[in-house]
Amino acid sequence: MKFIDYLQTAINSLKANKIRAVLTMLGIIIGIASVVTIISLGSGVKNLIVGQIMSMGSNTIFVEPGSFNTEQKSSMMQSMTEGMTIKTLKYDDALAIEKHPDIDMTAPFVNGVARMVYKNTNKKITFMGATPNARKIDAAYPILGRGITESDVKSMARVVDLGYNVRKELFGDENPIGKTVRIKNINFKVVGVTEEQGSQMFMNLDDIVYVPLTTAQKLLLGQDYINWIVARATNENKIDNAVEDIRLILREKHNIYNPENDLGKDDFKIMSQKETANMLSTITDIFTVFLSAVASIALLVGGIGIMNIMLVSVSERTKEIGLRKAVGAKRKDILYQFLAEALLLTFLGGIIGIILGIIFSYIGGIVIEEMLGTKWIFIISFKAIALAFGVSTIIGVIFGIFPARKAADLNPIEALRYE
Amino acid sequence: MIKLKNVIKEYRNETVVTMAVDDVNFDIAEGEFVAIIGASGSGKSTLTHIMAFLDRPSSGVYQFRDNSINDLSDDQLARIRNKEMGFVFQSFALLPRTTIFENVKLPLIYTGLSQKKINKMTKQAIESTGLSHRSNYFTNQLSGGEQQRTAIARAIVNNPSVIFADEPTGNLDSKSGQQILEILQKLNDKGHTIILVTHEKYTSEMAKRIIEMKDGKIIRDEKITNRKYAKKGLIK
Repeated sequence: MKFIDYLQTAINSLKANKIRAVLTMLGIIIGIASVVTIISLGSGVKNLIVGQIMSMGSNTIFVEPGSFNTEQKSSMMQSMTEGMTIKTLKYDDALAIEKHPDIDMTAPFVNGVARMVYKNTNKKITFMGATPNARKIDAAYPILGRGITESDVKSMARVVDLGYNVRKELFGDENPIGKTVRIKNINFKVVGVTEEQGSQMFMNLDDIVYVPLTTAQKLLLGQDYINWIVARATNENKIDNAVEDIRLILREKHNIYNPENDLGKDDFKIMSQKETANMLSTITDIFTVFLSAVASIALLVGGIGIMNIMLVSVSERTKEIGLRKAVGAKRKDILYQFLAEALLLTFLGGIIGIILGIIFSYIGGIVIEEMLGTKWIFIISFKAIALAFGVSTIIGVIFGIFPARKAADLNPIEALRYE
Repeated sequence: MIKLKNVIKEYRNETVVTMAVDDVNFDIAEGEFVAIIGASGSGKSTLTHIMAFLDRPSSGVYQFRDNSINDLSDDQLARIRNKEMGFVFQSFALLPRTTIFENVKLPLIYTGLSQKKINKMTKQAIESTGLSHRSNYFTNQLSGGEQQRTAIARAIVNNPSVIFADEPTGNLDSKSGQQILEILQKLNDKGHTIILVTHEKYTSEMAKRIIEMKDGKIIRDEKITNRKYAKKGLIK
C-alpha cells in the first residue's frame, strides 16, 4: 500500500465524521494556537523591553539600594522590597559619583504615587523628585515653560513640570503655566509641560510629573534618602571601569569595608544598561517558557482526545479491518492506516492552530500597542511554528500508535464476525 | 491444490473442549466447484476459515499448493490471500460511504501494482459482474443483489485461483441469489476453483462436489456427475 492510499483512506474517514474530526482537533488547535501566541507575544515583549532600555542609551548605569544576593542574582521581588527599606543611598552619593572623570552626569530620583488636583478635576499620578539632569538623560524637552532647575532644587521650590497626558487631562486646552495644582494637599505652581514621550518599561512617561528632588523628599515623602541614581558615562567603553570606581566611591562613603569585593556585603547595587537588558530578557524568556508549558497541557489533553476518538474509530470499523485483513492487508498496512488518520488530525489541527496563533498574536500586538502607547513590532517566530508542527506530529504518533496497534492486532475472523 | 490431513480445530474454555473441526481429510483439485454444507455449528465455517488462511488448525496439516500453513507467518498468509484467494461473505462486507469502484479496488491496493494497472483490473472486474454503469455509485445506493455482485467483483479483481463464498445468497431474495450462483458458475467455467459454504440445499445443487459436515466431521463427500439434474433442481 502506498502513502497516497493511506492518506486517501484517512481523508475519507475524516470526511465521513466531519464534526467529530473538528471537535477532536479542537484540543490540538487550542494548544498550538496558545503556544504560538505566547511565544510570539513573548518575543515581542522581550524586543520591546530590550529595545527601550537600549534606546535610553547604552552608556547609562543604575545605582539602587540593596545588595546582590550572590545566589539569586536576579530576584526582582527581593530588590524591590530592599529598595524600600534600605535608606543608605543619599543625594550626596550622586554628587560624589558625578565627580568621577568618566561620568558625564548623574540624576538622583525619589518617587511616589499621589492624586493631583486642579480645580474640580483630579488624576492619579506618579511624581518623581529629581534634578534637571533627569530630563537631560531622557532627552525630554519642555513644550511649554521650563523644566526643574538647579535653583528649584536648592530652594526646595514648590514647582511642578507636567507630563504630556497630565496636562491634557487636567487642563485640556487651557494654558497651565503659572496655575496652581495640589499634590498631597500642598500647592505647587506649574512651571512647564514636557513633550510627549510614550511608554517605557510598561510605564507611561506622559503620566508622570517632576518636582524638585528636595521638595519631594521633605514635603511629599518625608525621607532623606533617595530611591535610585542614574549615571551616564562619557563613553560606552568606560562603563566597566566606571562601575568598579562607583563601587569604591560608595563603599568609602557608606563606610563599607569590603576588600574581597563581595557584592553581597554592599548596601547598593550597580547595573549597567546592558546588564539590565540581559536580566529582563532572561525574565521574559522564563515567563514565556513557563506560559508555554501551561499551554502545552491543552496539547496533552488534545492528544488524549485524539487517542480516545481513534479507539472509538477502531472499534466502529472492526469489520472493515477484518475485511481489509482478509483481502490481504498486512499488519503494518492497518497500523499505518490508523496512524495516518491520527497524524492527519493533529497535522490539520496544527495548521489551524498556527494560523489562529498568528492572528491572535497580531491582535495581541494591537492591544498592547493601544494599552501602552508604544510601537509594537509584530514577531512571528519560525522557531515557534516549527516547534508547533513538531509537537503536533509527535502527539499524533504517540497518541495514534496505541489505537493503531490495537487495530493491526485484530484477528481477521473475529473482526469480520463483529457486529 | 488444497490438501487437508488430520486437520483438527478445537476451542477450549476452562471446562469444555469443543471440536469445531474433527480430524478432517480431503483434497480439492484446481477447477473444482465444491459446496460445503451442514447445519449451523457443524464446523463448515471454521473449516473454510482454515482453508482460506484466515485461521490456523490446532493440529494436522493444511497445504495450499506448496505452502503449509504451519510454516507461514501472518503476513505471509495475508500475501497469499491477497494473490490467490477471493472472498464473498453473507453480509457483503462492503465499505460504507464508498463507491463500487473503491470497494472493488480494495484488494489491489495491497498488491503494490501500479495505479494504472489497478484501475484497469478494477474496471474489468466490475464489467464482468455487469455493474459498469454504476461504478461510481455509493454502496448504500445499491440493492442487495448489486451489493453482492460488487462483493464478487472484489473477490475476483485480483484474479484468484480460488474463491471462497460463505453463504453468499443468505441475505438475498431467491432471484438475486440465483444470479449470484450463476455468476459463480461462470467463474468456475473460466477455471476458478469455487468453495461455496451453505446450509441451503438448493444453493449447493450447482456444485460438482458436495462435502457435508456434522459435528466437525465429514459425513458425506460426493461428486455430482449429473449436472443437468442439479441445474434442474435449482429452477423450481
